[in-house]
Amino acid sequence: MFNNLIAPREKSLFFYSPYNFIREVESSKQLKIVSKRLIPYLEKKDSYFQFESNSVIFLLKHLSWDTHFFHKNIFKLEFVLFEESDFKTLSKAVSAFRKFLFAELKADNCFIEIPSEDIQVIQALSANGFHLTETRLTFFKNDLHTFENERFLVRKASDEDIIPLRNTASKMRNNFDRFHADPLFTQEIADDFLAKYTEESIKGTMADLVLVPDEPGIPVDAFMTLSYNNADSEILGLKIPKMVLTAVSSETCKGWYFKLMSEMLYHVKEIGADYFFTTTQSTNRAVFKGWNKVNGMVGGTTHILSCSSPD
Amino acid sequence: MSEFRKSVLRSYSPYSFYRNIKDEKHIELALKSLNNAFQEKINLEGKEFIYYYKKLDWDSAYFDRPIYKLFNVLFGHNDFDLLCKSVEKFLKSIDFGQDAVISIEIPAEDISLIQALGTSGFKLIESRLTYFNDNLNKHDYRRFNVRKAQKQDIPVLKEVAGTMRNDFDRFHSDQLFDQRLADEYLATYIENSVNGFTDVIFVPNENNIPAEAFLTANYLKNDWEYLGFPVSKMVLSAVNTTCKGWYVKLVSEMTFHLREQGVSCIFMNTQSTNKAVIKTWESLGYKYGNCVHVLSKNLS
Repeated sequence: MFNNLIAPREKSLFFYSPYNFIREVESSKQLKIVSKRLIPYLEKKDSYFQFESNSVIFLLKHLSWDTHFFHKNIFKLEFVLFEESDFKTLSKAVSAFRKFLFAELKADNCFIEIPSEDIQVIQALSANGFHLTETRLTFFKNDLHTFENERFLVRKASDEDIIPLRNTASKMRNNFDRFHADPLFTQEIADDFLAKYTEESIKGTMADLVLVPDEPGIPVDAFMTLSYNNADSEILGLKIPKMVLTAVSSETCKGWYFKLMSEMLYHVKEIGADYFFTTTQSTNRAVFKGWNKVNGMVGGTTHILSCSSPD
Repeated sequence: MSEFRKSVLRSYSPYSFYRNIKDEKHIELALKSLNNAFQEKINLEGKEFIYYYKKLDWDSAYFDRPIYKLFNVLFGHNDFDLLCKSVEKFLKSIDFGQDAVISIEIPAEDISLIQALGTSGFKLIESRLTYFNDNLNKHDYRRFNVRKAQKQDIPVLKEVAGTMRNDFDRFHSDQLFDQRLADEYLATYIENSVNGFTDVIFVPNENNIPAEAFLTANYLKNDWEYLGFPVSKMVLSAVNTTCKGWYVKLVSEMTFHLREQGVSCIFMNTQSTNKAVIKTWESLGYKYGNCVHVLSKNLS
């Protein structure tokens, strides 16, 4: 087992909590969020790769939904654990892990979402075949009870909205999300993924709330989804809803990113949320323009590193 | 050049965060930075890639190994596999020397080149966020006494710079650099700054506060006319424990100072991990602008 490798990595593991920007939460609670992802390995439900009898451990998850959807065998690397390691040892471990992935597991792709702070692992992975495909910033806002703005008419999305919103999601292609950016995936299947994700969000499997414009003369070519994050809110003792996915037609719904966000802020204010946050690509000007307008703050940076070839 | 590359090229402008400058001007600025670089033309399957690079003499002497900077790669198509092959060919076509290192500052927007370099083993060593403030009239903060640093301040400031170690800057985060030299790099940098490498350096000037903190800025006046608006940059800072709380004071005072010089936009950058700094800037009205990565490859 690898229990002995968790404590030496705690300082970095802390930043794997998506809520690490919330200073008022003690670090034991942040680590509790992270350790939820460790449990399947401790219970031996998920597999891991050991390099040189436990000196470096790679915790790995097979993504069956993604594998089915993209027709590629896709794995997610959750964490890399080690007691103490220099760049050379970590590099060798990554090379061995990569061989294992492609030769033993017949993987087509393996990726990790890694916080900027875990710089040793970022370097070892990126020097050995895991290339950078996306950089994400977390934007957040607290002091929600004081939020005031002009009001806009919005409503909850319903099943009839699925077709037009699928269309909007796939039409408003974002060249910088990890599927569009990675040459492994075709543009068509990456578009389709966003359409599918949107559909599932409206049906309630991927989101708790989806808002769309409801103003006269404005077509339903824009949406914003919200997850209440109930399970994690309970652990942290704070209400922390997350804005997950947005798409806004640049032709028919110009300016609606901000309007939907403003109404979403009213919604989270009403439910008594403590923090409101989202993650977006570091290149996404429309998004950070909106967050700047409401005095949102940057909470952290993560990278997606991805590997699709054995050599 | 293809339209695709053009749209990426604008993000190589040092002012790419600023939307009120036309794209053409950003592209001109991006191309201007290539003037002093060497060119290596790589031909593959009838297509041409031009690699712009340069050996950094000062850095090479300082770290006692050949250090190269890759500025950009220009090409007129959108073939990712060929781009990857061209990186391999470029790295083989030049004798960089024993233990050489090559690095590039690459905007997050240039995702194809980031990935192509990644395929050839370039590793990510630092991510930097640019922040800017173009609403300086609104700047309002309690005033503090500061003064410009002078030659007499050098020994103290060198010591402050040398002890304020940042594990995430590109020299400290990359184990191939001698860590003692990485510590001294900033000390040398601040010495050069006082000796004229930078336009202005502020240090605290209050009773009972030692001058053991600094912040440097460049006015960038040479670019003002070309850009059509006055822009300046805050560059380097370090704050000793004896000057606790002085970072925000120095940034605020520098903001006042630059505004008095007629500046309408101030920008600066820091590592994406530097949350305390980011929080301070945001509290003073600075906004996130763009993200640049440093990728590096050890060629030994």
